[in-house]
Amino acid sequence: MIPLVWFLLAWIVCVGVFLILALMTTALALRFGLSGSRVVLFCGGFIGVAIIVIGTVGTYAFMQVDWSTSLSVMPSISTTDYLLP
Amino acid sequence: MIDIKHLPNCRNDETLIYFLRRHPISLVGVFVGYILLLLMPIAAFTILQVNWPELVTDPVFFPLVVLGSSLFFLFCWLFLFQAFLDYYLDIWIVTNHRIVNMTQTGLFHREVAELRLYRVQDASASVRGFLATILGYGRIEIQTAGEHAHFVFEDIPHPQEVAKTILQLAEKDRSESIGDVVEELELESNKHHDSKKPSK
Repeated sequence: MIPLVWFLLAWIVCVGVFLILALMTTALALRFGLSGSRVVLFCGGFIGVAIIVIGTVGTYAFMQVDWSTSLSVMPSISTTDYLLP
Repeated sequence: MIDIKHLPNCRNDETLIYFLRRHPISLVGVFVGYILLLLMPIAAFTILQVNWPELVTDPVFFPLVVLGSSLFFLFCWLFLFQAFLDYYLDIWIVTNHRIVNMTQTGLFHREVAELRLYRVQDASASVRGFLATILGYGRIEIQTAGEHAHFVFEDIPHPQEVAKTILQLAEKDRSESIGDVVEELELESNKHHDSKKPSK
């Protein structure tokens, strides 16, 4: 049995990695994108979509999911029915 | 478009002739690939809903699908943006005095090279392939006398026209920068002379 909350923690860590990479990429674009306002627009679009996705999934995950349950990897083994007489 | 004054060592009489990027068609293959990948979570969700509707309402399985799909989407989105930047940050600038070549490879590799126009010996344009011929983009190779054997402009629009203009500008710059050329030749001659002297 794997507690479902572990998956939530793994998701948060992966989103953290994504945010670090996104920050580095955006910083690179703003530093070397010579054309000014257009590159700001592209970066805004990239960050905007990412924030919408993270916000929507985060809201769903924290508001609508019961993380106290567990995932049974092999239901036939994890059940204790076979111990019963 | 770039303000020429942002370039390092800009002269007062320097004017921008070309600001070049690869032809946008070079991005199409990458974009189509990534857009197909971005659509995969939506396609997977639709397949699940049609074939296994009980999984979509499962309180354990469905949140995992949502978390996994969101990560897949986010990283595809990031790599798509990085592929776009790889295109967007590769720039060739031609002014009436020099050529500046800026190339970005990945996140941490950026090269900026500069070439004075009077050093240009030859500029050859080539258009290869069906799409390149139809859309009029190709490659320019610029031969120089300096340490950098040649500069290459990849997949730029109207290569013949650009190559012709570069040669004309080089000719003009050579006649204007005759002092610099003589000074450079003298330096090279002295270096050559020094290297021939026997070391004691």
